[in-house]
Amino acid sequence: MSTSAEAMSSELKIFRNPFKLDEGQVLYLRFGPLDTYIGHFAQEWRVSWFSTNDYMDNSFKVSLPFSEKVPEELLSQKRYTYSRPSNSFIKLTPILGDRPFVARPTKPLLVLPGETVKIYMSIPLFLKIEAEDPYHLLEEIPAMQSSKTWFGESTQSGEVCYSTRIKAVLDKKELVYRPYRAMSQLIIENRGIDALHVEKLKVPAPYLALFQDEEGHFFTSVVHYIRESDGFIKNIDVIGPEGGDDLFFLSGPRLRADSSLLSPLTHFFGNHP
Amino acid sequence: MNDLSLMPSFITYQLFENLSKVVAVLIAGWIVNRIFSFVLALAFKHSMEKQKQFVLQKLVKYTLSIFTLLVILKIFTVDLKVILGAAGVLSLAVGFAAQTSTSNLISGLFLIFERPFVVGDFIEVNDIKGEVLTIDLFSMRIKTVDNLLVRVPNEVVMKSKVTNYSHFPIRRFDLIFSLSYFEDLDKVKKLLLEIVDDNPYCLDEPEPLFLVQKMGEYFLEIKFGVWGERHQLIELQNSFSQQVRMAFIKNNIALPVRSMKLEESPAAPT
Repeated sequence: MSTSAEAMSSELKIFRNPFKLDEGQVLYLRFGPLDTYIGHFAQEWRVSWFSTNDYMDNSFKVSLPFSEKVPEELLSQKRYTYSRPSNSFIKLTPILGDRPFVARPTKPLLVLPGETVKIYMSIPLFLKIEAEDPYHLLEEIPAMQSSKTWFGESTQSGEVCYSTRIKAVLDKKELVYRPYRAMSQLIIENRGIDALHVEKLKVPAPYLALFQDEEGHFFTSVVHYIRESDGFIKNIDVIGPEGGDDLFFLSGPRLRADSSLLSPLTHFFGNHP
Repeated sequence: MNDLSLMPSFITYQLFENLSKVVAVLIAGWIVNRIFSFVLALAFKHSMEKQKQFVLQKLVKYTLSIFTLLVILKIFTVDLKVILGAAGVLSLAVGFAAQTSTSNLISGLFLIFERPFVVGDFIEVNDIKGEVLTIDLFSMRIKTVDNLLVRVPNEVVMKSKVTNYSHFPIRRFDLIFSLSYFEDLDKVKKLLLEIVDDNPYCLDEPEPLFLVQKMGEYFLEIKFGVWGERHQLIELQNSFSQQVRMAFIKNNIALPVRSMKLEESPAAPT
């Protein structure tokens, strides 16, 4: 199992190109806590997976062809069939989750009036498995099953989000790099006349794109929240991550950033204006 | 003689002319109806829900149909005042005769525009629980959980207490159980919160509720409320209850049960 930083950085780039998987071959991928087996058989693909949900798991390994026996407990397998022999190419792409992620800062923060702060969060990725030519989306598997939480002003308005166990931090060096997670940067600009109390933060993952640097680390687009003088968040910009020119674009956002990103207007930091 | 001989051809011509006008009015009415229907559908495609569009289209259709009918009567030089007067009396009679239908119709309009629920919601009305399939002008149809189709008149819905289980995105499941007075409540609470953390259907927030709701004669009654997504409440209820049971067994937390001890009294000395 490869866990060293150098091995991971090169291996993690495997996501940039499709795999050629001949008939009868099995591909094994360990993506953090997620074990995935992909088999290419006559006129079908078979995918099976299991996640230990251990958020501290730093493992990463790819085996092609995988010659060992697929563990019995993983045989909760899905089969994707064709009317004729399928093409041998399969693409694995890390993507961001289908719901926003919520994290709490290590301690509640106060963003002073006129100040702009950068906050960093680490969010778990999903693995997208696609067959190529003809294109078929086979599966989207979360690397770990995140617990869910409610993010809203009341039980009547808000949305169900994933919650991350790892706290949001002000210094990105405090975030431990994990191969199945992406680092997300939030910029909070407080143009208000009073301090902004931040109890928890929401990363609108479905609206963000995913990038990878040369070391194999994953980054999301940056979310820039602007709190106006009346205390309301009226503007949210989704911008490219720092060092964008040197980053490799891995996957686009699931949803188009429009007015729905601003809903509910004021509730992004778990407080009230 | 000549004048009289011309009469049938004149009548035929007049009739033919009137019939032509009627056909033209009918075609024009139909076209206008279609255009209105199309424009309304287009204009309110995104801003109005289908049920309201349906009602609006029906109202426009019936209004235009009545207008078309009046134009046709005018062609035949029928005195509209008499017709309208008769219609007034007739509508009064029909109103009395069809009180229930009228009440259902008005209730239906209220239901559609007030929107206490919409098609697809899971509701309870008059002890009937199920998914709303249709809301029509006179009645609504509900599919019960055991797959029965129930037609409920709109008037009944308007007069009854309606519970909408689908209105808010999250719901709370309350688990009520008894504990012995000797049990460590902090330990029980911690255990329950660990289960919440572990169960994929439970939400971390809103915070679960831990409430000692009754101090009974023999035991405490505890309410533990945990939140979940409304469409996963059954899964939450089942999995959470089972997890709690297993955790209590594993941690030797006994749920008190009423028991009665019967002793046979020694036989009286003879």
